[in-house]
Amino acid sequence: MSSLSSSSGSSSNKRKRDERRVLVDEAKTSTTTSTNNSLPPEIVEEILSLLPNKSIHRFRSVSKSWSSSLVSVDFHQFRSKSSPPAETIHRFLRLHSIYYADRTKYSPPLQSFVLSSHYPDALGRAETTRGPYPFQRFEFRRFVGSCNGLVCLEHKNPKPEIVVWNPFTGLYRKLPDHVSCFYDGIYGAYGFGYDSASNDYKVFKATCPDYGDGVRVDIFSLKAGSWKEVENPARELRHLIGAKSVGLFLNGALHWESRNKKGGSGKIIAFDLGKEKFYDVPRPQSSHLQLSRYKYKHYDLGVVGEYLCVRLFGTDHQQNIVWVMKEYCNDEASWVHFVSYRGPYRMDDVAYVSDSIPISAKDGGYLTIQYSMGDIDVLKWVNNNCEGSVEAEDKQYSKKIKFNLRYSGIVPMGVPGITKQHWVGESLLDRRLFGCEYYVDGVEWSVGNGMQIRFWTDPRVGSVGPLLAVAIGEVPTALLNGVMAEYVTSNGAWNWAVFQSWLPIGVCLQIANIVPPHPAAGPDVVSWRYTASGQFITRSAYHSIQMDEGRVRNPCWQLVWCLLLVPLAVAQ
Amino acid sequence: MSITTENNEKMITLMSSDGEEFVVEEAVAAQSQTIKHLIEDGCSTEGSIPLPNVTGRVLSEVIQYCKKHSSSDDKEEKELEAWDAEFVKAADDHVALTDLMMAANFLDIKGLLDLVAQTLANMITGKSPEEVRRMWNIKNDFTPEEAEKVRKENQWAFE
Repeated sequence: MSSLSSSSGSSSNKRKRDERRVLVDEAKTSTTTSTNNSLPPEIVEEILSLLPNKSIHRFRSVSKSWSSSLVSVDFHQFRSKSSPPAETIHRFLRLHSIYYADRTKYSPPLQSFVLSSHYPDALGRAETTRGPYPFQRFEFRRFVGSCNGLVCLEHKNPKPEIVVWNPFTGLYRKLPDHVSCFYDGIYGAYGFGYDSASNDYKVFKATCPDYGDGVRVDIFSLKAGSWKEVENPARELRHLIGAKSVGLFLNGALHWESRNKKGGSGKIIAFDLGKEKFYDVPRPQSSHLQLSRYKYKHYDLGVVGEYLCVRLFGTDHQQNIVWVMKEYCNDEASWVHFVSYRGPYRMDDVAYVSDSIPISAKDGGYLTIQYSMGDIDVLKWVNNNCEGSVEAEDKQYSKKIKFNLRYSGIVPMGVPGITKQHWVGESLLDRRLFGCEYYVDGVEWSVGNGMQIRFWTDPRVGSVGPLLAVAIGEVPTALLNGVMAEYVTSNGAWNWAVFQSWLPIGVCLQIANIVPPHPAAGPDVVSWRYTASGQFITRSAYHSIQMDEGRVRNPCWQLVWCLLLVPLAVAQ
Repeated sequence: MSITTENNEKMITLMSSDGEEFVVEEAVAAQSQTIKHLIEDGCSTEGSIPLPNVTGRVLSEVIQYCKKHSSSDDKEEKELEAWDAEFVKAADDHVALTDLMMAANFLDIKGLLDLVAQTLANMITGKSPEEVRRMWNIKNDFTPEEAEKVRKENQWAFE
């Protein structure tokens, strides 16, 4: 027998045994010990399901049977036996992208994901897991939802495709026969949730085919592996189409805030994933809501603890009021005021972070949680006596509210205590601003010593950039963070050999027109391209606001107005 | 044979693969779903319940666990946790733990299975594939090309 059997013997010596056992020692069969080679697959799976993501991937190279066990580790199950109860942790998933400025033109090349679990204690403890994003090659479109640690998202491959992905195990499943709701301007609504009665995960899709009056609702069952049309969808569903598209999962149902005719928030529609039926959820009394044209026009759904909550926000997004529903689906009176706070964040933006925060402050107590988001160093939300404030700081520039959102998607993992199921944010522009596509357009780099500009991923230098968006084939990940100075030969010319094989000839010609960075040229600077001086002037940006009236009130603009840019002349 | 003790507790006899007999209270044995079902089906009334997959050494440990867990109530959760930790510590190496886990799997004792699985998982988390192979005598059946491919795909997990 192998050395393992002898170690087994020595350990057994330590145990008290019945004497009879010695007499029948020879009768010991090989099936009773693990010293033979066949560790049963169910045992292997049981152990492997408890491993962290990284170990799972590493152990794929142990053997073929381990590799297949790791694939068959129950796909649906998100096991966290070793973790504290899920409701005490906030889990977020971030997909990191290199650059994502103008989503009409480029596909964001998502590179990796970061899973972070935030513990709601005073220390702001957080654990993170990182891994490569498995769908790097496809254009990410949106999160469909998240539930029990599974993430449902849509990307283009090249047609729209929905996948359900378990970032903990790295496994995923593609849904067949999907026609995107948002394809060719057809709007719809999505959702993803779990039906405990049938132990099944379901994907919800409501579409408005051909711009007609009809509404079509399809449900995909992960168990059945197929789509099924829901008969007689509620007529109110029309109000849902065009609203915020991703349903909030709570109590076995998906919830949406529908839009009324004037574009304001209407009622709350829910869809029971078990019964596959729609129902209405009473919303707070109108007098409470103070929904008016001047004050709180919109609300947003979320979850606080295990309660449904709405967050009202004014047009300036400065004043936020959160109400929670103490008894689910009872009546209007079960809505109670929970917290008010001020914050300049849009719900779609960073606000979900602050939304998720009041959870531990159920009693209105004191709470500090620090979030480390990409290069945003600190995002602190302090809630004391129902008054709150949000702070963010960029250490690099030592200034407040200077974000570098170096990711293009973020979705709280659907555990109780998470509010916004959906967040697709834009990424950075110049490391100084919010990632807001509307003014990314006007920002450009002027080349100095090339130590700041990231060669592949930063927005334009002159008329070029970001290069990654026009690259042919896949640029090695290792290169992506390289700064421009690394792309110059020792005698100061562009080092064509390093990059030209990934770029079309036309782009190379444009690069040839740019003066290569030089160590003596001073730092790289950001400037505004619509003025000759490089200085930002409101008037010069006005046309881009005019293009979309609805966006004038975007709070991001306030940041642009006060943005200090170095005049181009000074830079040169 | 089914014996009844003074305090009216029904006793069950379990026989290990190596012929060792253990007489335990029914409530203890019923911690195992497998045995519980056998009892419900009336298998325990005559003679002992044979457990062809479990050796006496392992079975005695399993019974030790079941006894502790059938006698404790919820209030002693903390103490029970400490006891569990000691219990797996005493099992001392991965071979003994694997035996225990296979027995727990066969006997369907969820608490024990989870406990041992977690211990083993903690044990291997930081290990390399080579170390894991050595632990369980697993043969690396990848060809060099396949091995390279798998390793490449999961390269980040090695860093």
